[in-house]
Amino acid sequence: MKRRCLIQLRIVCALVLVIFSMSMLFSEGVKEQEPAQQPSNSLTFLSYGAWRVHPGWDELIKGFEAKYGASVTIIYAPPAQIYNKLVTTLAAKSSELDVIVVDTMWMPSFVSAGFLSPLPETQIKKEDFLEAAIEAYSKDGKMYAMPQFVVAGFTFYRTDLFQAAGLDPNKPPKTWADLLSYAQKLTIDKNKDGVPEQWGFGYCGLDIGADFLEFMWQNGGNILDAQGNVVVNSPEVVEALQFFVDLRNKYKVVPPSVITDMPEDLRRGFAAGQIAMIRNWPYVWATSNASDSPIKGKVAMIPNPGNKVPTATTFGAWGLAIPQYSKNKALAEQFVEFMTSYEGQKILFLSGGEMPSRKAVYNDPAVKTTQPMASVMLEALLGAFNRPMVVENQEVLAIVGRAWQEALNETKTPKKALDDAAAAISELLKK
Amino acid sequence: MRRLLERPSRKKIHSKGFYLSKTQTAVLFASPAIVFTFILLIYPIVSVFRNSLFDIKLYIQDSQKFVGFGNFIQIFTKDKYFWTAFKNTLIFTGIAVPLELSIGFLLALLLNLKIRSRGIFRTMFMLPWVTPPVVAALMWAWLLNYNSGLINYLFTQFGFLSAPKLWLGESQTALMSVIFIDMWRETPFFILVLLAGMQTVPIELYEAVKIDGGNWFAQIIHVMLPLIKHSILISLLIRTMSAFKIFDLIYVLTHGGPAGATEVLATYTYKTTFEYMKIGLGSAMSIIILLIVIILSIMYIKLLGKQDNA
Repeated sequence: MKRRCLIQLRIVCALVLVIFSMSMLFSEGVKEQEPAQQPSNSLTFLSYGAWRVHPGWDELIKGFEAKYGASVTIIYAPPAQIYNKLVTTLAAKSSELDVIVVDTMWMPSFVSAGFLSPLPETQIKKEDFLEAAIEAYSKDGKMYAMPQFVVAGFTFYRTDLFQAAGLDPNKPPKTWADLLSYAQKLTIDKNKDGVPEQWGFGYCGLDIGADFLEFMWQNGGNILDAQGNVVVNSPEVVEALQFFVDLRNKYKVVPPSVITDMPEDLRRGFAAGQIAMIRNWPYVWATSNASDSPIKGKVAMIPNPGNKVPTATTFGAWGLAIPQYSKNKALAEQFVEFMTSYEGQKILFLSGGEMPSRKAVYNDPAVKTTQPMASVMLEALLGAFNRPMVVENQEVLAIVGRAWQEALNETKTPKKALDDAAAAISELLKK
Repeated sequence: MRRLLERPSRKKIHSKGFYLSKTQTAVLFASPAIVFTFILLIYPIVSVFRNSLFDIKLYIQDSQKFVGFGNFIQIFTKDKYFWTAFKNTLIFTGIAVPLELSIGFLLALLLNLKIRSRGIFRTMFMLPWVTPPVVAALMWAWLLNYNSGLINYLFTQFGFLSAPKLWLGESQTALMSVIFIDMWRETPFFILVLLAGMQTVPIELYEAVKIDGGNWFAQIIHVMLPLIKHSILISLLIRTMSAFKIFDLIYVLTHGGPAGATEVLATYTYKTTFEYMKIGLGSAMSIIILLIVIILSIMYIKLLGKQDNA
C-alpha cells in the first residue's frame, strides 16, 4: 500500500510538472523574437505584409544595408492587423520598432498620443511632395511621417461600350452634366422589363466607402472647414448628396444595389459589361489589364468628373514614421529618407505599381513608358482631399456614412440627413 | 465492515505516508487547466467591469478619467443608435426564436415517425447548422444578390416578383432576410434537442391516450408536450441568449446597414469599441447586454421551469 501510494504521488507530481512546463514553452513561442542586445546599426521595420512584397522592396532594403552598413529586420503584418499591433506596441512604450508604416487615418490619434517622433526639418523639401500628403502627415508645421505610397479614387469606363452607345471613347466625361448624360446613354434596357441589362454608372454607397465624399468635394463642400467648424450640412454638400441620390433613385442610371455593393462587386459588374462606368480604386486598372482578363485593352482610367472644382478624389496614403520610443532614431531617419527618396519611390512604382508621393516621379521618362496612366494619376492626385484630420475621424465618417445611406434609402431627405449628421458631429467633437 | 463501505471518498485513509483521496487527485490533475481558464476568463471580465467606469478612448493616452456611471447614463439618455440597435435585437430575437421553435418542433415530429429513410432526412436537416457561420452568410449574400442572385432569378422567372428585389439593401427587407437566414441556420438545433426529448417519451403513454379516446392531437398536447418541456426550456434558453448576441451573420451580410436597419446590440458594441475606439462606452454596453440576457434567462427559468410531478 505504501509503495503504491508513493508511486501514485510521484506520477501526479511529474505530470503536473510536465503540464506546467509545456504551457510555459508554448507561451514562449508566441512572444516575438527578443531584440535583446540590438547592435546600434540595425533596425526593426514593421511593414505591410506579404501581399505588398515584390522585388522592388528587396532591392531597396539591400541598397540601404549596403550604403549604411546596417541590417534591417522586417516584421510583416497583414494590413488588417497592423493597427492593433501598432497601438499595443506603442501604448506599451516598447522600443521594439524603429520604423513603422502609418495610414493617414491613424495620424491624428497617433500624433495626439505622442507616439511619433517628429522628423528633422532639414531632410524634407515639402514642395517635392503632393500637398495632400504633406497635410496628412504634418501637424503644426512639423512632419511626423514621410509619405511613401498614395492611393486615390478614379473613374473607369469601358471604351467598347462607349463605342456601342455612339460615344467617343477619347472624349470622357469631365463634369457632372457630362457624367449624367453619358450615363443615361449608356443605361440600356433591351427587353424593356424595367431592369437595365447595362447600367451607365456605378459607385459604392456603403457607409464605409468614400465615394460620396468625392462627390461632396467635387461640389466644393467638406465635412469640416479649415477652422474645424462642422459644414457637412452646407448647401454645397446638400446639393452633392441630392445629385448622388438622384443618380440612383431619379435618373436610375446607377443600379439600386450600390447601397450594399463593395468595390469588388462593382468591378465584377464592370468586367461583365453590366456597368459601363465605375468609380473605383487603382487596382481595377491592373486587374482589368491582366493577361487573362477578357476586357484587356478596353478600359480607360480618368480623374473623377468635377462640378465646382475640375476634379476631386479621396487621398489615402501609407507613410513611414519613427516611434518616440525607438533607440535607433538617427539610423531610422536615414532609413526613412532613403526609402522615400526619388529613386526609392521610382523603383517601387515600376516594380509594384505603388503610386509615389513625390510629384516629379510621375514625369520621369522611364516611368511614363511602363506606367501609361502616370499623368492621369498625377492630375487626380493634385486635386485630392484628405478625410477629416481629427482624432475621432472613424466616428465622424460613420456618422456621415449613415446620412448618405439614409438619403439613398429615402428614409430622410438629403437636407435632413445632413442636418442630423452635422448635429451629431458637433456633439461628438465638442466633448 | 459496514463502516468501511459507507465511508465517503473524501475521508483520508490514515496510514503512514502521504496519501491523496480520489477527489484530491482529480483536482490536482485538472488544476493547470482550471487555473489557466480562470485567469483567461476572469481577467477580461473584471477588465470590462472596470473599464465601464472610466472614460477610455484608445486614441488618447494617459487620460483615463473615472466617470463612475457616466457611460451608462450617456447610453441611456443620449445614444439613440443604441436604442435602435436594441429595438432591432428585440425584433430579431422575438421573431426568429419562436419561429425556429415552431418549425423545429414540427420537423422533429415528422422525423420522430418511423419512416424508412429518416436517417437521410436527419442528416439533411443538420446540414445548415454545421455550416460555418461566415460561409453561410457569404453564401446567402450571393443568393440574395440583386443582379446575379439565384433567388431574384427564380422569383422573377416564376412570376412571384415583377422585378428583382434588393433584399439586403432595403430597410424593410434587410432585417427580414437576416431573420430568415438565421432561421435556416438554427432550426436544426431545435430539431436535434426536441427530437432527443421526444425519443425518451414511452410509447405506452400514447397508447393510454388512444384508449381513452384521444386522437393524435390529444396525444401531443397531453403526453408529449409536458414530457419534453425540459428540452423546450433548455433549447429556448440557449437560442434566446445566442440570438440576443448575434454578430457574425449581420456583420458579414450587411455590416449593420442599410442606414442602421440591421444594426443589433452586438454589432453596435463592436463598432463603438473597435472602430470608434471608445473602450469605456463599449464596455458599458457589454454590461448592459449581459444584464438583459441574465434577466431574460431568469424569466425563462421562472416561467417554464416548474417541474410538475404529474
